[in-house]
Amino acid sequence: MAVKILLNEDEIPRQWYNLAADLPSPLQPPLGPDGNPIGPDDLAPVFPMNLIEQEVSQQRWIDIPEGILEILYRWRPSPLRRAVYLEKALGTPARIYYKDEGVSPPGSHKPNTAVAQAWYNKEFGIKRITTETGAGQWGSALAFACAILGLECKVYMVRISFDQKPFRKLMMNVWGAECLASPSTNTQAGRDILAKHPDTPGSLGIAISEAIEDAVSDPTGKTRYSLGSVLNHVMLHQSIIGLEAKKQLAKVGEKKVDVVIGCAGGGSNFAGLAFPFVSDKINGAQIEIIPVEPTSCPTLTRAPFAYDHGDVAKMTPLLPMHSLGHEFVSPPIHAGGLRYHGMAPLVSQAVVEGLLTPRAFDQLHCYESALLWAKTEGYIPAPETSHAIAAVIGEAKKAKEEGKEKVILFNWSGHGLMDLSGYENFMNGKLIDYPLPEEDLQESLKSIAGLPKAPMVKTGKW
Amino acid sequence: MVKKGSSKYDDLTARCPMLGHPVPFHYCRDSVGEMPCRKILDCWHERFDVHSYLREIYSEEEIGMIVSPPKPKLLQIIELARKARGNSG
Repeated sequence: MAVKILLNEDEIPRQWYNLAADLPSPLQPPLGPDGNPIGPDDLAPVFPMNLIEQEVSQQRWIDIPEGILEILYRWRPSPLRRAVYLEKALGTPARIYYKDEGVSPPGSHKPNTAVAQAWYNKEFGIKRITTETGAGQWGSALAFACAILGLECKVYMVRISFDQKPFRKLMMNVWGAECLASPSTNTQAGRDILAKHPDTPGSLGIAISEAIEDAVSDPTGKTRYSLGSVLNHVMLHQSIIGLEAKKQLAKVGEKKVDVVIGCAGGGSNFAGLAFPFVSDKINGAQIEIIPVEPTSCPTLTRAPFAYDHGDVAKMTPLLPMHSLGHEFVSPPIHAGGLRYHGMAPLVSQAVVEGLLTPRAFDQLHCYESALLWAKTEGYIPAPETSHAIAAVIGEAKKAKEEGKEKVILFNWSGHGLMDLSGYENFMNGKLIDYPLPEEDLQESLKSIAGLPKAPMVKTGKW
Repeated sequence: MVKKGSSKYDDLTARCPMLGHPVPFHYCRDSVGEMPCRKILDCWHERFDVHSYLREIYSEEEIGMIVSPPKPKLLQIIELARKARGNSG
């Protein structure tokens, strides 16, 4: 029985998949404070136009340039693994597969977009890229990509991380990137903060400000900024994960996937695996596609679709999203990566159409699932990953009850070796569950009652 | 009344989900020398009554501002770029 399913380099997908082209109801554009849609000109000082074109593209398939593929061959296609040991423990007839994105040089899925973004920047004539980073996972991914492509890379690393995580900084240095502690004296934003708070340990907000200022104030116009999550073109680049998985499943004779599962945080992890299967579902395939979220902050499972301000002060532009209301205060839960007020518009619209069936799991159940995974498959999952595993185990048990040989696929989004305190708290009985009470949800939703409502555009097919 | 500049919890550490590594509590309550991190309630509730701690220092309105959700990323970027270009131009 194959537990590692590999593809050769010549089997790698040669196009990315863009869900925006296939959504039966079009994505509504984000609105500025004046009510007008944000356009490419707003983004031009920050990103190269070829990436802006991808950000707003409605083209279904976008060719992956050969130059990008030649870099990705270092670790792609990534392995698809079968969780046979968990299957055996559960006694399920289901076959469980997971895509391993931890095999890249920097050790995460982030180089999938870092390489693409660096390549397009270079094509546009950009010589230098700036970004921000915390512990350094994204910064090191971009440093790696820039090194391979011969671009300068400047990373503003939050000072407390810079001081505490020297090895990620050294990784960036090894790849030739300049890594500065933020706030720095390199930008006006940094100098302003240092003048007021010379001993500040910094924050991601300050680091983003510095990276963007550095990019847009370059008088040569040869510097741009890069972001590793959230945006549409990032999800596009990550779609190679799901496209490879399809080929790998076919290689071991799996003709049909029944369930696709991912944790629904910033979007790129879930979207990267799931969106190619959403395409199949749009074209008639019977697939259940499940973004998983915590019960305590249910942006997809219980909140209505509405235009919502992004902050309590109501000063931000409006973006259509699933919303719990701008006065909603997330109750505490441990899996930090999933605590979002709203969801990515592409994912929101797919939910509205019924293409995705989001589910929420409480954190105790997720930790129980994570321990079972660790004791069978061996790897200790990150708290965010444990939400997906909880859903996987639930589906595998359901298959057992129904006596069905279902095929279940999910994205392995990382190990939990940096999150062992969470496991300690769970094993010592210190964690609590906090599902959002219905009355609290309704009270929160009163805050958006007077806002313009996003039209619920849907075809009703799913 | 707790003084804003110190806390008996300052040396406790917890993993910061945004940075990806452990930080001491004083970072979360004072990371930029002004207001606490918006995730301070999320990250510390398991360790002590952080909400009561905040109430001793901030009004409910201020706490609401502290824990309010971030702006959408694309819009943050546009606003920061406009601000930076305004400063340099």
